[in-house]
Amino acid sequence: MMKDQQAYPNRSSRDDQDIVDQINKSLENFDEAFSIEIPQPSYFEQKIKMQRAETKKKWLKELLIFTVTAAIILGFLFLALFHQPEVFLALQVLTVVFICFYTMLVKRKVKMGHE
Amino acid sequence: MEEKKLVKAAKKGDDEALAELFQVTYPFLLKYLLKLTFSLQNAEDLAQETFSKAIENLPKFKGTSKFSTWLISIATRLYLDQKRKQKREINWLKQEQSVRKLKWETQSNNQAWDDVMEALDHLNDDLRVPIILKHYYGFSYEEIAGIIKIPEGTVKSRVHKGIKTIRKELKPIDEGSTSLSKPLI
Repeated sequence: MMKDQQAYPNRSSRDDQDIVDQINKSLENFDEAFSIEIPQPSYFEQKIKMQRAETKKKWLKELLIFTVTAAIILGFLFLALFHQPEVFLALQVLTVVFICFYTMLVKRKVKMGHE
Repeated sequence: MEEKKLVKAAKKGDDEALAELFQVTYPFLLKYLLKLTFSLQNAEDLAQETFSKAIENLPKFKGTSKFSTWLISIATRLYLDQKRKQKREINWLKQEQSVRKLKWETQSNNQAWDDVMEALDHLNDDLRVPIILKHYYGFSYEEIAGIIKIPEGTVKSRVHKGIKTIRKELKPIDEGSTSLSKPLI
C-alpha cells in the first residue's frame, strides 16, 4: 500500500500531518477488518464472456442505428439539394448555428460543474 | 505471470489472462470501493461495473500505469457518477444502515470504528475521495485531477479543506476524552 507520509513537510502543517497519519492508521485498521472472499477464475471468465457478448450486441445495435439515421439524413439532404436548394442552404446554416450553441452550452455546464 | 504480460495477453483477447488480472486485483478494488461507499453491497456492485467497463475499454488501456490504478480510476468515476444520479433523501436511510452494518462488522473483527472513520463518513464525497486517493493510496495531485476530471488546483484545495474539516471534527474529542471506538447504537 502506498501511503503519503511526507505530504506536509513544513512545520506549520504538522497538525495536518498528524491528521493524515490518523487517517492512514484508521483506514489500515478498516482494511484489516475485512477478509474478502475472492471468486474463482472461472467466475471471472464467465463474466468476461457474458460482457463481451453484450458489448458486441450493443455495438451492432449502435451501428445499425447510426447507418439508418445517416441514410435518412443523407436522403433528406439530397432531396432538398436537388428539389429545393434554398431549404438545403437554410439547413446548412441552421446546423452550424446549432453546433456553436450546443458547444457553448456544454462548455458552460462543464465549467459550472468544476466550480 | 507478470502483470505486463497478462495485460498484453488480455488485450489480444486472452480471457484467462484477463480473469487472472481481475482475480488478483479484486480484493484491492473492493476494499477501495468500501472506503468510498461504506456499503459492502454497493462496493460489490460497483466492482462488477468496474470490471464491465474495463472489458469494454481494455483496448484503450496503454499500460503506462498499473492495472489496479487503472481500475481505481474507472471505479472512482463510476462511484461519483452514481452519487450524482442518486436522489439523496431516498438513499440516506439505506446509507445509514450500510454504515451501521460496516461498523458492526469492523468491531466484530476486533478493529475499532474510530472517530476518524466517523469523520470520514461524515465528509462530503468531493473531499473524501481526493483525501483517500492522495494520502492513503499515494496518488499525485495530477493523477487525482485526471481521475476525477477536475483541475489540479481544485484537488489541492479539496484535500486541504477535507483535512481541515476532519481536524475540526476531531478537535473536541482530542481535547476531551480519548475514546477511539464508538459503541454501537
